[in-house]
Amino acid sequence: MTAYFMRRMIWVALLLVGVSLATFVIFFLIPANPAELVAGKSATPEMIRNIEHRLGLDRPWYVQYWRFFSNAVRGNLGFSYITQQKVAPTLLAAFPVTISLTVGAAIIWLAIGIPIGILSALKPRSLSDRIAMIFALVGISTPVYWLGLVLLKIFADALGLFPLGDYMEISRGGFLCWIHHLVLPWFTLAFLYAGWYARMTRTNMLETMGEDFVRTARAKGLPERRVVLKHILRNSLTPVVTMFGMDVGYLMGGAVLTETVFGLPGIGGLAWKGIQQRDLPMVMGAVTFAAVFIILANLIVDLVYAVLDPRVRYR
Amino acid sequence: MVSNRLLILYLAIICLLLACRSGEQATEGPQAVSTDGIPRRGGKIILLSQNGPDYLDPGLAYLTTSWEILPAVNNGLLTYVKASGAEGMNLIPDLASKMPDISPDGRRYTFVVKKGVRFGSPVNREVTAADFKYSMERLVALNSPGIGFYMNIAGALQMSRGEADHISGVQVCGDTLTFRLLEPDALFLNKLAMPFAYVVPREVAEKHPQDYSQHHVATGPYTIAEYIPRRRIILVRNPNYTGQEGYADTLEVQLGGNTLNAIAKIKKGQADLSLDVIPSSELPRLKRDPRYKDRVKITPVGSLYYIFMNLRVKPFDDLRVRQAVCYAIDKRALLKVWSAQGIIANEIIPPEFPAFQALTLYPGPNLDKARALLAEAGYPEGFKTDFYATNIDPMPRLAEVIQAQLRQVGIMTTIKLFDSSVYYQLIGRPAEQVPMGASGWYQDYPDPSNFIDVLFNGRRITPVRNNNVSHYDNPRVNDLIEQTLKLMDSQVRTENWRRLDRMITADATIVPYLHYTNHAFISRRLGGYLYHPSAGTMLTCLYLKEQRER
Repeated sequence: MTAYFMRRMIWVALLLVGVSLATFVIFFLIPANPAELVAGKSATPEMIRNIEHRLGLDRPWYVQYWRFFSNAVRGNLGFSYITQQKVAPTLLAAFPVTISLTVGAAIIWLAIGIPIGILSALKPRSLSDRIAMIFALVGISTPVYWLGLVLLKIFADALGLFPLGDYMEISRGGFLCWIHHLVLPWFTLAFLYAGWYARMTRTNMLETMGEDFVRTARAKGLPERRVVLKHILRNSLTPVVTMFGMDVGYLMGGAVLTETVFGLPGIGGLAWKGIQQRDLPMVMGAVTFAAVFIILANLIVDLVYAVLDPRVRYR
Repeated sequence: MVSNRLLILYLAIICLLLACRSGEQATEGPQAVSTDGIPRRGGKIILLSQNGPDYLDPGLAYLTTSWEILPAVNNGLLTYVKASGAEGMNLIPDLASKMPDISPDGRRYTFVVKKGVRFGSPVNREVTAADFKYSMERLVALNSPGIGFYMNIAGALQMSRGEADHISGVQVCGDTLTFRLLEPDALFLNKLAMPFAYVVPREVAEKHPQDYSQHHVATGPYTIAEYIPRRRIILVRNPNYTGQEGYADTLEVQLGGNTLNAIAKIKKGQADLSLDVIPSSELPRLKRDPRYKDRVKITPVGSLYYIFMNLRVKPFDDLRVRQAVCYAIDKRALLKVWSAQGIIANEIIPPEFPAFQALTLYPGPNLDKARALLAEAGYPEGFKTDFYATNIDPMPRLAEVIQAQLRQVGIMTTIKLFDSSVYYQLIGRPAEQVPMGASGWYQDYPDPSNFIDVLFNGRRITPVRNNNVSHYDNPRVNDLIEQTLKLMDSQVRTENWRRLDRMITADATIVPYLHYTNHAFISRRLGGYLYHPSAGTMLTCLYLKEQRER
C-alpha cells in the first residue's frame, strides 16, 4: 500500500508539471500581450517594454516557466499581472466559496441521484422507473445557466424566498444565512449531476442484479433488503465513486457557470477572468489548484475502491 | 408518521427562511427618513458592481468603476464642478488654494497647496506640496497607465528612462508647487484633475508598492473601511476631512453578482444603484414599465462608436470605397442593436462638447450612391473583406447587421470575433493589417483633442497599442492638430476642432454611428444621482430619500 501510494505521488508530481507546462505553452500561443493590457489604452511602446521587463515577459518562455515552477514548489504562485495581488492568497480566499458550493451540491445530488437510481433499478420499466429516467434526462439536458436564471426568477425575484445571488460568509451573516444564500446554487448544480448519478446507479445495479453472486445470495434466503444494500448496491457503487471523485475534483477547480449566474466569488470566476485578461499567474494558479484537486480526488477514489470492493488490493 | 415528519421539515425550512430574511434586514444600517427629495445626511447606500475596481491605487486605477470610487476618497490639485453635461467640464481648485498662475508662454503652472488638509488614518498629517511631487514621480516608478498624460512635464521622460531620479520639471518651494512643461498644453489642467494625479502619502506608498489598494489612505470625504476584492468595498466618513461632506454615512459597494440580478435587487429595494451598464435585454422593459421608467436616468457621456476602415489595406485606400461604405450603413438599425442607448453620430466630437457640430456629410442609407461609388472605384461587383469585432454584447449582433447592410452593395464580409483583450491589441498593431472593424472611445478628459488627436493624428501611429486604428495619416490634419494643441485661446481651439472634425469625417476614414448615453437604474429611495462626463457616478452626491423598501 505504501509503495503504491508513493508511486502515485510521483505520478501526481509529473502530472502537475505536465498540466502547468501545457497551460504555459498555450498561453504563449494566444496573440495577446499582457503588458499591453496592463499599460492601458494610452501606453507608449516604451511603457509597454518597461512593463514587459517588470513582469519578466521579455524573457524566453522556458525561463519564465522555470521561474514560475521554482516559486510554485515553494508555495509562491506570484502576483497577478492585472491586480498585483498575490495569487495564492487570492485563490485561498476564493476557496471557501467553491468548497461550499461543491460540497453542498454533492450532498444533494447524491441524496437525490442514488435513491432514484436504486428505486428505478428495482422496478425496471415501471411507471416510477420511466418518471425517474425522464427526471434524469431533463437534469442532464438542462443548461446550468438557464436553470440558475429560472430558479432565481421564481424563488428569489418573484417569491422572494431566497436572495438574488451573492455569497454570504458565515462570519458575516451566520450559518443560516450562509445556507440561505447557497440553496439555489446548490440545487442548480446538483440537478445536472443528480441526473447523471441516477442513470449511472440504475445501469450498474441492473447489471449487477444479473450476476451469479446475487442469485446465490437470494438462493441462500437472505432478505431482499440485505441483498439489495449489501450485495447489489455495494458492487454497483464502484463506478459511481469513480465518477464522484472526478466530479468533485473538477468542481473544486470552479463551477464557472453556477458561480457566474449567482455571483459567487469562487475559483471558477477567478480563472475565467484571468483567461479573459491574459493574467498568466492567475490562470496558472487556478489551473494548478484545480489540477491538484482532480488528481487528489482520483487518488482518494482509487484508495476507496479497496474499501468498497474486497477483490481490490494495492501493492 | 411520514406526513408528520414532512410537516416538521417544511416548518423548519420556513423558519430558516424567515430567520435569514430578518437577519439580512438587521444588517442594514440606520436609514435617513425623508420622502420629500431634499438631500438628507445619514444611512447606508448600497451600490453594485460586477467586476469592481481594478485598483484603489490612484496611480494605477484606470477602470470607470475605480474612477467613480476614487473621487470619494482622494483628491488632486483640481477637480471638476459636480454637474452633468457641459457645466461639469469646468475645473475648480480642490487641494490647490486657487487656480494656478500660468506663465504667458503657457509652459509654467504654479499652484499653492491648500493649508490644513490632512491625510486620513494612519498617516494623520498635513498634505504638502512635496506629496504632490512624490505622487507624480511615483507614476513613473509604477509604470502607471496614466504616465503618458504627463510626459510633457520637463524631465519626466528622463526619469522614465532611468536617467534621473526625479522629474526636474516639478519643483516644490514651501507650499508652492510648480510644473514646467516642454510644450504649451491647454489640457494640462484637465490632466491634473485625473485620478492619476491624486495625492498619496509617501510613507505608505513606499511601504506597500505592490498593494497600496489594500493600504489606501484617504484625503476625501470618505475613507475605505473595508476592501475585500470580489466581495465588497465599504466607505465610511473620513474624520480628518474638513471640506464638503457626502450625504450618506456609509457607501457599500457590493462586488461580484451579475447585472441581471443587480436590476432585480434595485427593483426590490435591496440595492440602490448599479455601477455597471444595464443589460440590453432589461433596458427596453425598464423604460416601458410605468413603475420604473422614471427611475431610469439617462445622461450623455463623451463617447463615440464607429466602424473603422484601415487605409493601409486595399481597397480602403480609395476614398470612394470608404464613402460607399458610409452610404451603405443604416445607422438607425445599428442604434436599435444598442437598444437605443445613445444618439446617432454623424461626426466625431460628441454633443456635450462646445466644439460639437452636427454634420451630414454622408446621409444614408443611399445604396444607389454606394453602388455608383464602388463602380467608379473599380469594384462594380463589390469585394470581399474581413470585419473584426469583440465578442462582447452587442458587438456580435452589430457585426451581423453591418454584414447584411454591406452585402446589399456587394461588399461581402467575413466576421471575425475576438475577446476584447486580444481584439484591441490586434487592431492596435499596424502589422496585423486589420481591414475593417468596430471600435469605440470614451473620453479620458473632456476635450475634443481626446478624440481627434488620439484617434486620428497620423503621427501617433505606433507599432503597438495604436489608437489610430484606421491608420489615417493626413499631414494637413496632423499639422492642424498639433497647432491646435498648443493654442491657449479656447475660441480658436473650438473653431479648429470643428474644422478638423469636418476634414476627418469628409475623408470617410470611419463611419461614426453612435454617441453613447449612460443609462442607470436607481432605487426608489435614492436621490442625488449625477453622472459626471469625466468622473462618472458622483458617489458623494448620492443621498437617501426614504426608508428602505420592504
